[in-house]
Amino acid sequence: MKAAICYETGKPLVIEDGVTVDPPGKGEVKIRVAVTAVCHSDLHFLSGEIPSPLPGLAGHETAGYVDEVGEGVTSLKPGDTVVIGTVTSGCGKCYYCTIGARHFCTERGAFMKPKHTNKQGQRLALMAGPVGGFVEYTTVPQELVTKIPADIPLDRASLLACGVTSGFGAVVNRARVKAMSSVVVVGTGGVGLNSIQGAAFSGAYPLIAVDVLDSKLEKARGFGATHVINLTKEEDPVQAVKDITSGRGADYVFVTVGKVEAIRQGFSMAGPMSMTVVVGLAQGNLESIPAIELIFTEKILTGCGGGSIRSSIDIPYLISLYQAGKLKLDELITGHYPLERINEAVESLKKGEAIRNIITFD
Amino acid sequence: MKAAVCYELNTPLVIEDVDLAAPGEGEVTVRVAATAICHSDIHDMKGEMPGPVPFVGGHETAGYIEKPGPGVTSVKAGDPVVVSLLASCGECYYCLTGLPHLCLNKFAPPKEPRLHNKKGQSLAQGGSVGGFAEYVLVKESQVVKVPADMPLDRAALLSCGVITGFGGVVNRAQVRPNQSVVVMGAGGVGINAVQGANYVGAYPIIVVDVLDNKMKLAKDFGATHMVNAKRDDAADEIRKLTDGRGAEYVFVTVGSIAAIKQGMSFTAPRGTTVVIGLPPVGQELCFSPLELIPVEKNLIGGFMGATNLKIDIPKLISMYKTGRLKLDELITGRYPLERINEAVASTEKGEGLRNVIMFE
Repeated sequence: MKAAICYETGKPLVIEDGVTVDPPGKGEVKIRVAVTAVCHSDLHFLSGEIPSPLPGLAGHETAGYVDEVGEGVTSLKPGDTVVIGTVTSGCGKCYYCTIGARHFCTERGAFMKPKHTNKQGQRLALMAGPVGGFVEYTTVPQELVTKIPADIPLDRASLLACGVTSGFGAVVNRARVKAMSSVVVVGTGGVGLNSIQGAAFSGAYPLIAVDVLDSKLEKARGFGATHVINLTKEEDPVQAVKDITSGRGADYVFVTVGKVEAIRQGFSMAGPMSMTVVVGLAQGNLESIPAIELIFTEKILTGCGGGSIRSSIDIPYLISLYQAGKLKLDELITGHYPLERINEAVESLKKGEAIRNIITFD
Repeated sequence: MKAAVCYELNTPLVIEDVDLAAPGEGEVTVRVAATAICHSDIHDMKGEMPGPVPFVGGHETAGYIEKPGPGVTSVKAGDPVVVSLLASCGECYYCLTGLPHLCLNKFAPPKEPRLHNKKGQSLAQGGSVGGFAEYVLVKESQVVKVPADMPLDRAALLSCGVITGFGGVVNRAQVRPNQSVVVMGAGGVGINAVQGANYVGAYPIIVVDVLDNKMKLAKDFGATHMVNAKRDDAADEIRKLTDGRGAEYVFVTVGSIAAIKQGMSFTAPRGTTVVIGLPPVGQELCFSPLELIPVEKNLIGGFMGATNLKIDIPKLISMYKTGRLKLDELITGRYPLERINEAVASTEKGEGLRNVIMFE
């Protein structure tokens, strides 16, 4: 089978035939991949910004069909239409599963074992998540697989594996934004647009999108932003947020850009008793927050990975929202590319031209 | 094995030899060490709750795993366990979101009756446990392993009475420090609601009952004030103790409609009346919505203290061991199975908090 392999970071992926995948072991499922979307966190790994063993296989926004199930898998059968998520639905037994916080399942660390071998016999490390989706078949733990209705287009469904849920879930699950509270979303890419969508869904107002490109900010309005701030044009963006929020700063700030400077700026945009949620995968340390500011303002600075979703509950729920016309997915897809042209898809995302590019295998 | 069977409502239990099935997939057999008598056992024996007859009652049980069935992983033979009536499937919405006490399948009956008398007649298991017997057969989800040094008569109390009261305050209502609390009824559940309110820093904690000696006991569990519903103008007394507003939380642990109505009248604007005690089936609560609207009162139910067994039971045990939770004081009497009818009569009269049937 074919795969797009990263042999060296910062270089184009190598499309290679003759790759094999392990058969599903106990509790595992082999999937025939139909589509895998390219996420910005793939780029972090492929560029070497986040280190990873090589050669590696990236891609984690995947949808497809169950091909084969391993021993002990009872809830899935060959032919089932599925999304492979990055967030585990949990072992069901550990402390976090028992209290309903399944995304913190203590077993989730075991998911990063390589499953693929290239024709030279090298094992391919999993990059940017436990899926390995830039390949025709993959084998994953059943906890990452969610069955979905057969009638949803799989390119849309794949977005629910990470981008949509990370943005939407940060607002709805992690922060539980209250209606009529003010929200800033920093960054209007694939994740940011979904935070905006989640905030609009929750009844936030005003809902302020912050980015550097007018074209993206215009798109953000389509997802529910009521105000936009272009950082390249606004002299004092923090003051601009305060002007829109009765001088106080926002009740919630979601930083979907993976940069510590963006987190610092986002935190400044947040008002007293607010919550700033770090969503984008920023490398490096955050250094310049005065401790006294926390005390006098009671601001909360927190993070959210994967939208704190309960995969087996939230993914089907989001699909029903999509089918009811209450969740935008179509508008998130910029282009479709066959695996052979994956490097074009990656380049286009890197340049900020695209929200999501989809690699198709069917 | 021996069991105390209820063949007819309102008549003494019959102690006799019965047969228990072997554990199936996901089930465990437990050798019973102790089963406490809960007031809802009395409801069952009097026919105040619907349920099949004949049955073996008892659901506040602790013992040792005798035999785990196929697929059981959380316990092994010999493990001391608490046995609860709360089964959970682990797969429904409520199980997935950390509320297993609301499991949609919690009362799913076993595929086949597990308990039979020597004539072959099937016997229902009261509270899905049937703890007035030397052995019980339950689902794996109903048992929680406890430390070997935990006395099992006290452990048994954790499976229902303690958690229903304590958890009603701590988990369900999530009472916060300095909020005012009224607990109606100073029985086995009420006294644990008092204990929970004290634990979370509520003030004042007002216990309402008709028996002064029970309320005095409640003071040892943390009640700060007593109001005798018979003697005093209770609503007036409570308003005086709460700056004229009424209590922020009222826990009705008495199974009576009149008590619920009275409890609503004790509740402050924006306050919450939590219904915990089970009134006889068929009785209905009737009140004017105007009692709720202009004062925005909440009326809610609390079931089994919104308990997440696998998390809460071990925590409560460590609280007991470190002196933060009273259990010893809850046990009034210990009886062998042969004398269960005496124990039931004593509980029915309201003489004690908990009578425990001991098997070892």
